[in-house]
Amino acid sequence: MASPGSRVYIVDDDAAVRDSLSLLLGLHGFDTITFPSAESFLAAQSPESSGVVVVDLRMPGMSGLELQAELQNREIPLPVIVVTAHGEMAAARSSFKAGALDFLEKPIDSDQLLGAIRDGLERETERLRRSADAAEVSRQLARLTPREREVLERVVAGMHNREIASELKISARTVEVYKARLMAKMGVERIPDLVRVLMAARP
Amino acid sequence: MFRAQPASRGSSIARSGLTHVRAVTAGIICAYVVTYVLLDWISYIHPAGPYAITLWNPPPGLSLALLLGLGLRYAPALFVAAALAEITVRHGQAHLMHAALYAAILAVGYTWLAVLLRRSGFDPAFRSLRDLIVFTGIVAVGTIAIAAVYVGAHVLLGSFTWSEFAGHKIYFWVGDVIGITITTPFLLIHGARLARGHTPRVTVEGALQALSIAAVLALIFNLEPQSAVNFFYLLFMPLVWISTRYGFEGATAGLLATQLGLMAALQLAGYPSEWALQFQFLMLALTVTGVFLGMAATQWRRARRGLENREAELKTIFATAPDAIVILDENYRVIDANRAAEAIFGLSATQLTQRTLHELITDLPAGFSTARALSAHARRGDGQQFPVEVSFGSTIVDDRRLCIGVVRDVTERNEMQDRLRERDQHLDRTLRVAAAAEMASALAHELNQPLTAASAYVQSLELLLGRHDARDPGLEDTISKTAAEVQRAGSIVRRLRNFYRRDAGSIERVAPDALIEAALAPLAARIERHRIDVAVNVAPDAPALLVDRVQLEMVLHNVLRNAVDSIAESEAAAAARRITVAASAGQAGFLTIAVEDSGPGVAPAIAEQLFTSFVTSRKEGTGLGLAISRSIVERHGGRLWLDRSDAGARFMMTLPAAKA
Repeated sequence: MASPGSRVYIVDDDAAVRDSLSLLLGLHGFDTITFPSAESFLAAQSPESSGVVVVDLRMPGMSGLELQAELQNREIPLPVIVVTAHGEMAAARSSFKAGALDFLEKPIDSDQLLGAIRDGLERETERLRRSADAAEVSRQLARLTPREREVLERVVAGMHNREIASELKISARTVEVYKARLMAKMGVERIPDLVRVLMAARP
Repeated sequence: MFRAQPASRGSSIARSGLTHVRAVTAGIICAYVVTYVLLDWISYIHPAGPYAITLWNPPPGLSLALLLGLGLRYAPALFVAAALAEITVRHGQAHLMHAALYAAILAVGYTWLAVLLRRSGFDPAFRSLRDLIVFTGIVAVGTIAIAAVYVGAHVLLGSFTWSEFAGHKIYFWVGDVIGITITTPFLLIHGARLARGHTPRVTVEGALQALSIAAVLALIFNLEPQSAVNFFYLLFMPLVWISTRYGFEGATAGLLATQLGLMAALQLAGYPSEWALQFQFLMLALTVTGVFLGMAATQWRRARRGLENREAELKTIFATAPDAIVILDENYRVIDANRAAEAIFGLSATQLTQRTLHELITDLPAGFSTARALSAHARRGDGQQFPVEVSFGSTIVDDRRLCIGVVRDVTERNEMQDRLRERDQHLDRTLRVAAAAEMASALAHELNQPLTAASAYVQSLELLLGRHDARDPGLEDTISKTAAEVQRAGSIVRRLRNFYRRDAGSIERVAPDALIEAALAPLAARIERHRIDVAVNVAPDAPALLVDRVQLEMVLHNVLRNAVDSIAESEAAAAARRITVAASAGQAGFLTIAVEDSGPGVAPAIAEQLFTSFVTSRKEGTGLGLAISRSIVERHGGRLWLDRSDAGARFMMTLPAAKA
């Protein structure tokens, strides 16, 4: 299972702000990476990236809000904390609408920032866990034979053995054998567990 | 006259046209030669000696009229006519060669006269006194030379002796001068009138005038020759009558009639030949008097007609001028006033003439000058005051000083200026408040960055300090005090910003076209001056806005002013001086306004920082305009951006729409 660790991306055009936040967050035990612009940050990301983004609202070139939109565009689901030196209510509304984790005014209250980062990292951990579970389930599903998968789909849909047998034109006994085999492969002992695992892995 | 034959077709037109011209020319030459010989025959009376020298020579007048009226190319015809006349009329000519020589002298002599006249700038229509002076002068002097050569040739060929030379020369000269001065102007003027399609009319007055000439002649020539000479002056009377009534045209006709009558009377009265010269000298005086008097009458009539036309024009200008015009006497009392004056002062022209200038214009400065327009106040008939602009001119008529005042009612113009000024002041106030807010905001932003960094550094310092065992309580205390001060600085900045932060103030419903119109109004003068064509397109589905009207007016005004500046600075042709403002429904709940201009666009370096405070491309710009504009639009929840920056820049903004 992959971990987000304590990765924090700091995106700000002001070098002193980058350096000081990086130092402070580093002292609090976070693993920080700084970027002077939204563009340079985006260039370093992939859908597999994880961590929390702290981004300045107003920067030359791409703004904080535009970065948020671009991340959604590229399906990079990183939690974003927007900070601003202006108290712009309209921008705050927009960023929350776009799913920002928090919107902080500069000078930043460090407790608020740390709280927001922790929230974000928790959310990341949960997301990664879920995606790891999903990866595991899909690995297990990949090991099933086509016949076993057909039986699985019908079992999860709540069909009885006899119905499955008549639909697949095999004996109820054979259905029973497939069922036992696929449950072993999926690592579950009871049908309700099987359903729960599959539901949980759904993105 | 040349006229194309309408029936001919194709290429034959040109040829038949040419033939026609030739036929006309030949006709003219024949008519001229025949008339010449006839005139010579009629006037061949009282010749000096047996030959060719007569006292009245209308044929040279005919020749000059031909050359001056129809062109010098007819010059050879002069020789033919003169030669024919020498042979047929003056049948004493023994030698054909002699006749040819005399004819050549006459033809060359009169052609030379015609050339002299043409070169002198003489107008055959006798339009001015100058034409008449030049004509009589050249004819009087030129004919002396011709007379000398002609009479000299006769002497050389043995017709006369040298002792007769001087006498015959005068005889010839008088005949020529009278003949030409009467005949040539008559033919040129009346010929031209005939060619223009005038038909001669016989009026009762004309007939009476002719009768009076005949009566005077009859009276004179019933007397003895000496008495006839004494009473010759009576002939001046009908001629003065004719000349003053009918001008130069009449004078030439009257002189011709008098001359014909005189010759006939001389024949009928049977006076001895020696009296003829006396009469012709008198006739010469009559001729010169007649033509000059006639010309003076014509000139006077022409001048009077010009004055009448000019007066009619001036009367129309006076009556229809949109400004009030009053004419004042030396005591500034109104003499005359136009319709506009009646309208402005609410008084009839008669009522106006009972007032003085100081009653009409109440606050005229004491020693006002007539040099430039003055601002003053006028009083209407009903006592109401109104602002005016007055200018004066003065002129002297019949030794009286007249003053002409032009009064313009500027009530509407002043009101318009006041309204514009108020609007400008309002915009100016709004702009100043917005500029202060923008400054505070920009300052807060700039200060917040170092404050954020300082705060984070101090907190880091506290953390770092916590890791060391050897703690100095003073150090710890100082650091926490530093942290508190940084926080305090931050809260001061926040308070400053909050003080100026105006969440869009008084939100109201505004129609997009009204907003655009209001934003354009203060620019109207510049738009006109720079000949910019402004097109406003508001889509029918464009929703009303829900905004702070004054603030948004200022934003749009800012963007439009940039567009005007951009075009004003460019040197584009008239067709390319254009601003388009388009309003249409944008994404749900928003209105989009696009402002596009035909200017040179925004330089890339400027475009990048266009909305940043304190960046401007204009010399007088503060660099706050677009930054404030964007702040205002964003406070409303809208957006403002530069959509296209190359030639023909386009600014776009979205603004919240009112729910339909």
